[in-house]
This record gives sequence, structure tokens and C-alpha cells, in this order.
Amino acid sequence: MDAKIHPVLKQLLDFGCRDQRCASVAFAVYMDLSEVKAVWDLRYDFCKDLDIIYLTGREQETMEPNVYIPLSASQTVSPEWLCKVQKALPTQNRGLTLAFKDADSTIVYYNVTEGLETPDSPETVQNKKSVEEKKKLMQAELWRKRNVLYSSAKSNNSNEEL
Amino acid sequence: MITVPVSEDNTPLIWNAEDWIKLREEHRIVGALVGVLPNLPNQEVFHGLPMSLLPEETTLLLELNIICLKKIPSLCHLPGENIIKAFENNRQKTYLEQENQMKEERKLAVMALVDKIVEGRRRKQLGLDTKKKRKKCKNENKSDETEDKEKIVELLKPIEEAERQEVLEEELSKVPPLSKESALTQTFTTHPWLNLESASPFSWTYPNTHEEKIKYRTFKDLWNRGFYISSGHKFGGDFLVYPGDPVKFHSQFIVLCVSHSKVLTVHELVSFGRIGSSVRKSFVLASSPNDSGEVIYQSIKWAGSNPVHIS
Repeated sequence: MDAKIHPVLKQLLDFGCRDQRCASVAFAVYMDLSEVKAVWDLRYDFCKDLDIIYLTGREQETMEPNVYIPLSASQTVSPEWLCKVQKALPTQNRGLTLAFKDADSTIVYYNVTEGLETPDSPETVQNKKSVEEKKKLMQAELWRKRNVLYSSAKSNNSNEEL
Repeated sequence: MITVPVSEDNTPLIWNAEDWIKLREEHRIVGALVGVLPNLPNQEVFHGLPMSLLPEETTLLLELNIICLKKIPSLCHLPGENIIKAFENNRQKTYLEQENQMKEERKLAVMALVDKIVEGRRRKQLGLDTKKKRKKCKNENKSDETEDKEKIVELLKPIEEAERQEVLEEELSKVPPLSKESALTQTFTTHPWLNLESASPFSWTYPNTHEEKIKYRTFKDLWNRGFYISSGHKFGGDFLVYPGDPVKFHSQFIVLCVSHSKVLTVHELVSFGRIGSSVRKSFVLASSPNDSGEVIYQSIKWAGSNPVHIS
């Protein structure tokens, strides 16, 4: 059985986190970040003092790395704990992204930053929306051309056919 | 120092418009208007004085020696006979003042016209050309050009002061008295005959509990940072924080005060973040570690389902 285990999951389990949920939640978040969100330089590590697995990665190639804390929906947090985590991990301006994994394996991300972070301006919100739309469009396009992409991959052709 | 009366349920209330604007403009204390507008009593879109102070606002203003709290017994029961009498006297006085004022103005108007009135009367007496007569002539198509010279001399005689006076008095006697219905009455927005001698100082004890202390510390810290703060119940927090006067600005933060070790479930955090993103505010947890007075804020922001940016 254990020969089939994903190498990342194996490493996550080998960290020896006392909370059994930690490794599996971290693995789900890892897969989401690497495969769906396509985060740059995705890494994972174990903080022994806090007994948590955390991930780091850049959302954009040019951006500073972000710290992700995987949490299952049944876990709890306190302001005290958040402060500890922000201090212990290599965060940018004491900012964290909490990744909550629900039982149905959907993952939602919340930024928690120490201090008073002003809300996004209407322009920023609009930019974010247009970025999301762009991405949706791209995904739809990939889905539409998937057969061509698969066959070109199988025949080991270069993408000149596209 | 502003004397603030405390209501029966121990809420400090500001009744005076000058005090209200002073607290708002000079001290960034917004409070909450809980009264109705005297001229628009049947609506609740716009509120009027009095302004109730939040417990945190009260404690802060007391600490800064800007206000003093007073329990005023005469505000807690119906007005006594003396006050009713004073009220009626005042109403009668303002009525008489208005009546005199009206007569005075009528007099000025008549005085400006008195010469014309005298001239008109003379013409009538002498049977000379008047507007009425002219009209009549026009209708009958005959013109009465033959005006007696003597009559014109009579007409142009200088007007005697006595004659003027007589006309004036006659005209003024025609003026009807001011009816009570059309007189203006004052709606008092503050107690005009408040007996401050019976007022007793009120001892204010807020904050008492641990939760109250965190709330007060947070309020004071935010106030010291130059923000305007109002109650945050509308959005599920303790305070709403504005970068400027709430009349001109939207609030930026919903602040919820919790104890530093307060255990929050993931559900709670998600709902905080969602509230914030749906109303374009940051949801902020405020807590204070080990009673040091320092306040630590944690801003929660929904990162979106798609944290990836494609440029």
C-alpha cells in the first residue's frame, strides 16, 4: 500500500505532526496551490514549536512569498495563537493566509494580517474581478481545446499545430 | 466643561446642539442621535437630539475632563406647577411680542402710504377725478375735462400732521388682532428652566468586567490613532471605525473585541471575513495580551477563491 503514496504526502506525514489531521489537510492545500492556483516556488515545512505544517509560495513570480497555514474546518484559532504564528514564521509584514479545508475538500483562503489593514479600494476590487474573469476565460478555452492538446501531447508533437 | 445629564437608565445624554457639535468637531465623539427632529416627528430616517454617549465615549470624555455627569432629578418627573406657570408666561410673552411686532410693521406700511390715502380721500370729497370715476367715464364714453381750478388748489394743499395722524389711527384700528393659531410657538429642544441646584454628581464606573476593559482599551487606542468610532452592532462587531467624520466617510473597519486567548472556530473566522468582504470593510479582531494596555489587531480579509494573479 505505502508504495503508492504520493511522495509529498509521505514527507508531510514524516514530519510527525501530533495532530493527525495536519498532514492530510496540508496535502490537500498543497495540491490546490500547486495544481489549481499554480503558485510559484511552493514549499512546505514543519514548525516544531507550534506543531504545524505550513507552506510558502509566491502568487506571482515577482511577489514576495506568502505563508499558508492549512487548517481543517473543525480546528480553532485564537488571537494569541495567530500572533505566535505570525512571529514564528517568515511572514511578510505579519501577514498569513489561512487555508481552511472543508469536509468536501473545498478550500477557502483568508488573509490575516496584524494591524489595521484598510479594505481594498473599488479599483482594486475591479482589478481582481477582471483578473478572475481572464482566468475563467483561459480555463474555458483550455477545456474547449483539450482534445487537441491531449492528442498533440500524446503524439509528442510540438505545439505548432495549435 | 460640559455638564451631561444622565437619564433614568443611566445613559448620558447630550441635549444641547452646541455641546453636540463641540464634541463632534473638537473631540471626534460621534455618539448616537436618539431623538426625533422637532419639525419632522413622524419619521425615523433622520434622528435628532438628544445624543446618547457610548459607555466608552463617556469614560474617555471623563478621563479627559471634558464632561461631568450629573443626575438631575427634575428631569426624571413631570414638570411641577412653577414650570408650567413659567411655560405659560413665556408663551403669553412671546405672543404679545409677536402681536406688537405685527402692529409695528403694519404701522410702517401705512405710514409709507399715508399721503396717498389722504390725497385719495380729498379727491373723493371734492368729486375730482379718481380711478373709479375715470373707469366710469370711459364706459360712458364721455370725458370730464372741466376740472375746477379751485378744487385742484384744495387738493394740493399741504397735508397737516393732524390729518395724517387721524388717517393713521383709523387705518390701524382696522388691523385685526393676531390670532393665537397664526402666532409662532417655540418648540424647546432643551429644558429652558432646568433646576441645576438639585443636580447631584453621578459616579461612573464603566469599565468593570474583563470584556468591558478590552472594549474600552480598544476604543481609546483607536481614538488616539485619530479615527472616528461608532457602535458596530449593525455589522456584528463592537465598533465601526471611520477615517474621518462619518457624515463624509464610509467606515473602513468592523472591530470585534475579544480576549487574547479567545478560541474562535474556523466557521466564525470565515463568517467574519465574509461580512467584511460583502460590505467592503476589513473585519478586525482586537485583543489585548496580558493586560499591558497594548492592543493587537488582526485584520481578516477574504483572499478570494482565486489567489492567483495573471497579468
